[in-house]
Amino acid sequence: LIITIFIVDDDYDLHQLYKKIFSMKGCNVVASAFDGAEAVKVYSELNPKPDVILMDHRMPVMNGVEAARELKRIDPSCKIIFLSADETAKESALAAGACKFKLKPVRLVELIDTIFTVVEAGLKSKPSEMNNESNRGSCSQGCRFA
Amino acid sequence: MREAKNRAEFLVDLMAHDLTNINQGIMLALELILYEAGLPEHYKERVRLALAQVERSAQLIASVKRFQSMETEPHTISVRDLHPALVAAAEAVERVFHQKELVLRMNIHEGQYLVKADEFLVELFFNLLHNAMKFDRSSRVVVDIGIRPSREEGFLRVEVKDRGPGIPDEEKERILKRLRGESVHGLGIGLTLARRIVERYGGKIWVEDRVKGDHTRGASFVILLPWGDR
Repeated sequence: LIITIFIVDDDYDLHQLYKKIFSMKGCNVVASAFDGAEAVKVYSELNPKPDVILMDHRMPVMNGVEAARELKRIDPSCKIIFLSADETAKESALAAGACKFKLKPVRLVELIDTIFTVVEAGLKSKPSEMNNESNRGSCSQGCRFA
Repeated sequence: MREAKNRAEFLVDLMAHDLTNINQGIMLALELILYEAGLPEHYKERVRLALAQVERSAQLIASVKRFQSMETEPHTISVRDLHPALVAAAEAVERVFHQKELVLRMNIHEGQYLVKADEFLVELFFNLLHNAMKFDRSSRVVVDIGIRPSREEGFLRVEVKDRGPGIPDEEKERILKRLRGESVHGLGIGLTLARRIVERYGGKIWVEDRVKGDHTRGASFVILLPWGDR
């Protein structure tokens, strides 16, 4: 099983780095957005939905917290991880439904661990999927879960 | 005046945020290089050094932000236990210096000493322990914490003794005064932050020699903190 990721950040360079890193770790970046409003639009059209959304906070048009609120309204089961340089957004991000809030800068190992923890927790909360052996395994770089 | 202060706060916030994003980019790019197959070990070592510098920059930004929040947030002093604050600070410092071992020797247990402080109490000890870890070149850094009632009524005397290069007499006063306009070569914001925290509690902080008369054998940061009664 390959973890699918939707990246929302207004920094173009970070998108490129995330993509490279996640592909090395056997994850697949399935969509990108550069502001909160675009994130909501792109997510609505995504099928299937990604396993995880990586969300920045301070972005033009619509910030991450507002976007998270809207995404949770559209899909209450979506898993949002905040990656922000703004610690003051932590409380409101978690209140908006984020699973985790990580303060930038985040080391690669910590980032990957967080993603796998969130995905693993999501799988555990779905017993029917857990019973399906095809959902268990590891990503191509040996990152085991479930 | 207030407008200028707000503007300064806004600019610090903006700069800290943008620099953090830049640090995130540099950090990930360096880590990507580390994953390059066949990269010679001596190149890896240089990349690790660069990563350590980025982490240093991130810590500096975090300190400036904490400094700012300390200046702007209202004081909420309450009774706090010294022991868990010291333990939390030690754990945080060890996370920063993961290639070094911190040996913290202290004579207190949980609930033994209570002081009047706020959530920055951990930050105070973090900065002093960080200073010890930074300047002590050994991989096993020993720090002694001594706590006893002060001769000044109503205060507790806390001594944080390191085994770093020490501080010459002429530098002792100046190192805690950086924000008062004096430039002190080689010293960071951490000790200034420590001083501001102690002053926030109505306490005092100064530096002595760990071994009296021989500054080369390490520094002893002496802190007077107001006793806390439940």
